[in-house]
Amino acid sequence: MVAQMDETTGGPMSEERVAELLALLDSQAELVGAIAHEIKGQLNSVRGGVYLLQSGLKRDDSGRIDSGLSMLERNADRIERTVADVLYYVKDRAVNPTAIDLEAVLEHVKKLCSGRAQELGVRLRAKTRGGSLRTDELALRALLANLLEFALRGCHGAKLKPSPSVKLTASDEGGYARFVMVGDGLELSDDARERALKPYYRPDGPDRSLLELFITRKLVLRQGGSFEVAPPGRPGVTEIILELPAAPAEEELA
Amino acid sequence: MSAAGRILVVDDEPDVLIYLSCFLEDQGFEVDTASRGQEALTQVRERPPDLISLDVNMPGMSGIEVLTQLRADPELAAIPVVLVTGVAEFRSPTAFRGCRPPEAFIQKPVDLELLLSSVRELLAREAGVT
Repeated sequence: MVAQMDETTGGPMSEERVAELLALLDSQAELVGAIAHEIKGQLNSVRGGVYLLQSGLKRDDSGRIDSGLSMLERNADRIERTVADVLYYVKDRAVNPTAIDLEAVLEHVKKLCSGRAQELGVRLRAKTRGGSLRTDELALRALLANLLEFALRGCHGAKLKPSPSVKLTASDEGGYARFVMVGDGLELSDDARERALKPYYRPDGPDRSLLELFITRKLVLRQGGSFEVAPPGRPGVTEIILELPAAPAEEELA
Repeated sequence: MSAAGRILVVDDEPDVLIYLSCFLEDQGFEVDTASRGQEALTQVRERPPDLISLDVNMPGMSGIEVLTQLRADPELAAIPVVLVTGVAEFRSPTAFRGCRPPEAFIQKPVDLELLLSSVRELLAREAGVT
């Protein structure tokens, strides 16, 4: 049997290192599978939208035409988010920091997720007292959209409250920005809390609902930020806190 | 009940529920919907459908758990089930914990013609028209 060489030490690879690399490979396969599964779901809904639109046009049924168009718009938003995930997580795109207006970015992600919120019957709010952060805007949008998708889907799936809601707030803390997501109607099990903080992706049972949270955390950590799931407080409420440092200005890097 | 039969469509994605129920209603079926496994079981017990279209990946009770409970109930065990799944491993009979596998599988994204032919064939078989 030929021993695998460790690139770092130049010696034979330890059993622990081999196990670690195999776990990483498994995790990557799970992640690709989960994204493919997500795309299948979106494609199914796009076909649904096309069906409603076509059959509505044939019958001259304006209600059905409107439903079909809404379905297509919602799923175009979901596809946009998934493409951003692939670009930012899988492709490891280079970051391009600029000064971002927090109010504008919150408005953008709220708009991106509002169709999904409506579809899932969850009230979505976004609030900031303004301020700015120097960071990669597209990466920031992608991680916030993932966080909201996770929370919306979780609230819809849990059915813990008759009127679930998701609130995202952002604040400029001077040198860094703090984002707090409160899901009222969302409860994470101890196991899910633990897995959300693992370095490797592991699906949460058959519904793979931790994918968005995993991607959010990866994107936050890649930008030198912190990701925290607050300890359980009120029943049926989950709070997630992200802190992102401002990227150094170009003159500081020179 | 409609002449074509009554179908319970179970899926946690609201868009998919609308899509499949509209399509099946357009084909002359009466359609009920449920967005959760537990809700589906309650509906089946209150008003048994002629056929169930069942999603696998749902939060809480999965489609596999719903199927297992249906098969364990002598009054409901005979209802034909079309399992709608994007996950290949559920196509294996060993995935069903020893209970009778679903009568048909449909892969996501759903091929409507295949869904319709499976539904019609299963309902015809139930009615003894094969």
